[in-house]
Amino acid sequence: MANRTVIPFGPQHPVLPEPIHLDLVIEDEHVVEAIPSFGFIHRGLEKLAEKRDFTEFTFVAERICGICSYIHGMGYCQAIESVMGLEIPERAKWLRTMWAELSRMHSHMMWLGLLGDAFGFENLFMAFWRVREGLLDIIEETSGGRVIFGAAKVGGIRRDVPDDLLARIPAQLAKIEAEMRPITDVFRDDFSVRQRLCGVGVLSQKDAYDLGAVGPVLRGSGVAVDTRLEGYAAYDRVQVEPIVESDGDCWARAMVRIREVYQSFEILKQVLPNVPAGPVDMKVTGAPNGEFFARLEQPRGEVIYYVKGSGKKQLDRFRVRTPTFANIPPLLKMLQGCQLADVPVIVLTIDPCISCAER
Amino acid sequence: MNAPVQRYVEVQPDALLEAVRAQQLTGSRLVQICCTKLAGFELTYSFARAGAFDHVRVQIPDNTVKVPSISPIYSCSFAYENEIHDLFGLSFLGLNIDYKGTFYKTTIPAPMVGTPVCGAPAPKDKGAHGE
Repeated sequence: MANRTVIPFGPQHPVLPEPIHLDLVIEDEHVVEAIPSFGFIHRGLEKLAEKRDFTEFTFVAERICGICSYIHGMGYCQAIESVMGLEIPERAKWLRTMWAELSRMHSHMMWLGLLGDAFGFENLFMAFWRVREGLLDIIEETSGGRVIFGAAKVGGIRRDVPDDLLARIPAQLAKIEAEMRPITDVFRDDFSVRQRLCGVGVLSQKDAYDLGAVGPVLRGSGVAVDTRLEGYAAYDRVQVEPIVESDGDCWARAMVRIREVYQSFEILKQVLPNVPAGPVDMKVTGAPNGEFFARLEQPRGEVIYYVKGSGKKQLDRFRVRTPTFANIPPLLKMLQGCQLADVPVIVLTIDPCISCAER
Repeated sequence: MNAPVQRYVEVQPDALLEAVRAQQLTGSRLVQICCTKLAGFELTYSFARAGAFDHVRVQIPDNTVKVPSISPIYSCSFAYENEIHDLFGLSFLGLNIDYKGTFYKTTIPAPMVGTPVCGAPAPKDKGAHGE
């Protein structure tokens, strides 16, 4: 019988920009079991909601994470609006959809670069991040921020986007899409990329569903679940189909994200010409009295915002269930039986955001 | 919006596992478990399947009551239950992976309960030796 060894992975590791720790139980070169631990940077943001005014808290919600910051702010506002029965202006709904898709694209492109970096393909890393700069420029032009958009607001959006700017964005996106094609072709066709990703970290369809996987991890295992189909913001008026791959390996999860970037280009082609004229916010009076669970699709998967208020300016409870947190049990399953050398790549394919999980 | 209507089912603690098993039999996946500190503790278990988003709710009077773990039914619940243990101080019976309070590394035990929030007046510092 082979000797068992426990190898600590993290909290500091080259593929982990944020701290998470895994104890890897190894037999020869194979992982038998992985035991995670968290809490190195737990910030207690949910507790902070008990002190802050519910409208001010939008700024905190946007800072749960630096990559999916906009959707955090938007989801929080959506939950509050549902409790208060607010129907926000149409223009705000369409602009929220635009920013949510720009968010998804820049998050996926960042991740694709990081994945290239993780298996030693530095050129892919630089190419994806160079193209992603064009998206960040659009985000900066429309919202004023490159990382934290600062555009979410209970009752609408904080800042309108001029129509002439909206009219210019399709040409900018077309340029970015053209620049992206050859890079994703390399990703799809390169022998070394396939060797590092195909058949690695397989998660079956049943395990993905039973273990509560979300987002590209779930869809990469063949389960067609995408919360955008529920039609929040303006998603009920654009065509969205869940992007699904069936192999359940690292390659499938990467392909889901690549295809979702192109899907976002298509969604933006539907959104940008159809943004209606009109106000972008509404007057909000009173305070939330009731509870609601809002579900949205972040780049990393389904996210849940729970708010409960009792008619005061401060909430009784605010909770976020982030996609990374939901993807931890599936990750442990993927790691079972893998080679030690594949652990960093497998961990990266859930697109771990510890900042989100440690809200 | 095509979002399903959210349904809440309130159950007693001893009927929790039965209610959760009923969700599993309908093919629902566990979406999340949320704990809210009110007079006691309110636990909300959320489940989703195509066209449905249901919540099973249970009231726990205080943290001396042990809550039955749903990990024998949904094994992924260990993450939520360990989180609730570490942040709220609730204990779960029959947890499949029990971190025994080491899942989150917080300086204060059960920080979501009875702890002043950031910015509230801090108790007077008496120094390291209580002087």
